[in-house]
Amino acid sequence: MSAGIRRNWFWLAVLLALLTGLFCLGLALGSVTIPLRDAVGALLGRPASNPVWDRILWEIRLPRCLTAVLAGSALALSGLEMQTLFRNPLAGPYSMGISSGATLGVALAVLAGAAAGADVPGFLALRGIGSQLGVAGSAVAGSAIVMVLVLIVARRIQSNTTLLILGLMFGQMAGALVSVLQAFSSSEQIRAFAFWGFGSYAGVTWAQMPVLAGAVLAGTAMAALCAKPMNALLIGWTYARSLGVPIRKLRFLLLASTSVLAGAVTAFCGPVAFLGLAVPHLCRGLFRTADHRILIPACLLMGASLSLASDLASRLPGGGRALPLNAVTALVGAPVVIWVLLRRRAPKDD
Amino acid sequence: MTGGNLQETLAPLLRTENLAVGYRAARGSGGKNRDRQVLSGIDLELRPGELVCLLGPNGAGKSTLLRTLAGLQAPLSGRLLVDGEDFFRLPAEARARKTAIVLTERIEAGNLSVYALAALGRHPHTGWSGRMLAGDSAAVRRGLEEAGAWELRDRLFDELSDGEKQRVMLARALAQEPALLLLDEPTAFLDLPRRVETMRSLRNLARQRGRAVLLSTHDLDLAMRAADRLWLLPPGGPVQTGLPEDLALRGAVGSVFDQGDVAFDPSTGQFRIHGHPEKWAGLSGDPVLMLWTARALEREGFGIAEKDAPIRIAAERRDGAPAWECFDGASGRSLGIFPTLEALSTHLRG
Repeated sequence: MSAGIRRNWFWLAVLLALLTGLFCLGLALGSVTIPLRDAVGALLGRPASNPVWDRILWEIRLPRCLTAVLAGSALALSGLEMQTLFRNPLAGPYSMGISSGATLGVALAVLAGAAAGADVPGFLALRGIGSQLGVAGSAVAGSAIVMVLVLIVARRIQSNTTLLILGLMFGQMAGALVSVLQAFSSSEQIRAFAFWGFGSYAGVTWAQMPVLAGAVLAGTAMAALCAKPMNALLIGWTYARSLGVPIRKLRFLLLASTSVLAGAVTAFCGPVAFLGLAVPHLCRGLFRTADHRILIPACLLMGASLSLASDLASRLPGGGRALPLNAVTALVGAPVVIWVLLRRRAPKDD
Repeated sequence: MTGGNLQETLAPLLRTENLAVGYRAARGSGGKNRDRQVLSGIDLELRPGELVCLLGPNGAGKSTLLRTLAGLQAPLSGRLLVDGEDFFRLPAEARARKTAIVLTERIEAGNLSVYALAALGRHPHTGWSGRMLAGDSAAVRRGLEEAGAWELRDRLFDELSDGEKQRVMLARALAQEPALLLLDEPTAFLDLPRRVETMRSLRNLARQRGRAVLLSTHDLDLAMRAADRLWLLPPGGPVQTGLPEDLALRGAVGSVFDQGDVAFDPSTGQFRIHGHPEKWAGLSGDPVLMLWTARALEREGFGIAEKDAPIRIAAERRDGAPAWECFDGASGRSLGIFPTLEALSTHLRG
């Protein structure tokens, strides 16, 4: 057993090192390249040799990288929770329509804001604590509503794929409602909303960081409380109950944690595809374990790393252009889903 | 042996008082009193060290009773006392330290290794983080060894055969260190030698560590040989309990299982398939030969008559080899001598 524990610590350390490296690269690379020494120095409180670099680092790169870390770990963790809760390897905040629920929440909040006379692009940029909490709150509520719907259906439906398709349908319905809302919006609103829909870590400012970080911390704390009972859930609800797991409390905590994590990230960064679904599988493969006490920190580190790497890749074209973040995460995530599907078929044919 | 007397004097581990089990109508489903009662008026006792088999036709409520005794569903009325305490007033984790259950349903366990799955049995004993202490690891090892699954510990659960999975689920239940072990049809998917072996080891588990073991099965023959006590569930009627032999002699076994052409024969301890013979034959001779001759004749549709049968068969050993001589019942004339039952059957048929 001790060999396994050493192995876990080794890989967690590797992931932490990877995350640190990617974070520094994220600070250094972009339309203006800043030497690593200055980038790291800025983190440690030394002023950079060029005052322009200083401003770029503190006002653009650092919040962007922090956002990538928070969003990536939150999405990965919510994906892990959903896969265990639904006992479905293809569950995730995006694939089961939770992100769409959050999107609907955001759209409603924006529309309500516009009706109340708020300036829409400004509202989506989430200036002011009121609009931040309003949009984040309605995104979390939208996520929770879709989660509850999927949970209700999941109690009647045994088939994993059927459940997944139903989740997709709930997502489609939420998406359709968003489109209907857009028909009543101005072209300016639509453009702001469409840009948000591509997903981006660039829009989060220091003023917004406490709300995002607070939501991610709260969601992570709830998930940490569930680590032990989630392990019991791996052998099914009936056995978990026979082991003394308080089923209702667990279901509620997982529902709340997932909605807060996925909802808050969607409110601030737009819907980000596939990270939540893919990262838990990569962690299970790397750590060769199903123990949530290891998978939770692993997913946090791996999700943050992959999210930073995707953000870096989206800046590749250079010259102020950027690829949509969603396109990059889909290119990383979709192959993982295909791999999971193909691997699951194999044992059945033996 | 004083074992029997000793058991009489031990306080019961489990006692039910006027227990009724079944399924509660869903809350808010409209009309009242739509609970579906499966069994009622159950007064039963289980003592430490006892192996009890629960027998009854399909739909008699075996699984419902087991699930209730495991604390998986609340009784409709009445009380369930374990160690003198009202079982359903205990917190879920305390219940899980007293009883463990192995279900028939086959489970998928994702990435869990056999050891990790068995270690889930420690769930009700560990703290909130699920950290395993030395005593926990020892209990898991003991469970795996007692269930004969220690050498499987590093394998993945999903890659095991049905029989191996059954052993691992038993190991998990034993790691839970319950005073009462419940098993729903543990022999259902096993071949005959493994069924006998399973019963033997469950009996040892009950004896050695003073547990009570209650299992449901359809294997009447095996249950009558291995169980200290039977619980018979007639469809709709009251539960009957007692030593297997007492129940057989009292005609209780027959009253539970007789159906159509199938009848329990207390003189052989087995089921007879043809209940209403149209032809009759007299039988005499060597007792062992008579037993098997009767079975062959029954298959040909003959009943065994005490006297005045149209034909009479003498089954005797002649020069060490069995031989069957057939006589006309009225005249006493010999109809032929046959070296095998097959030859006799062919003659009777033609």
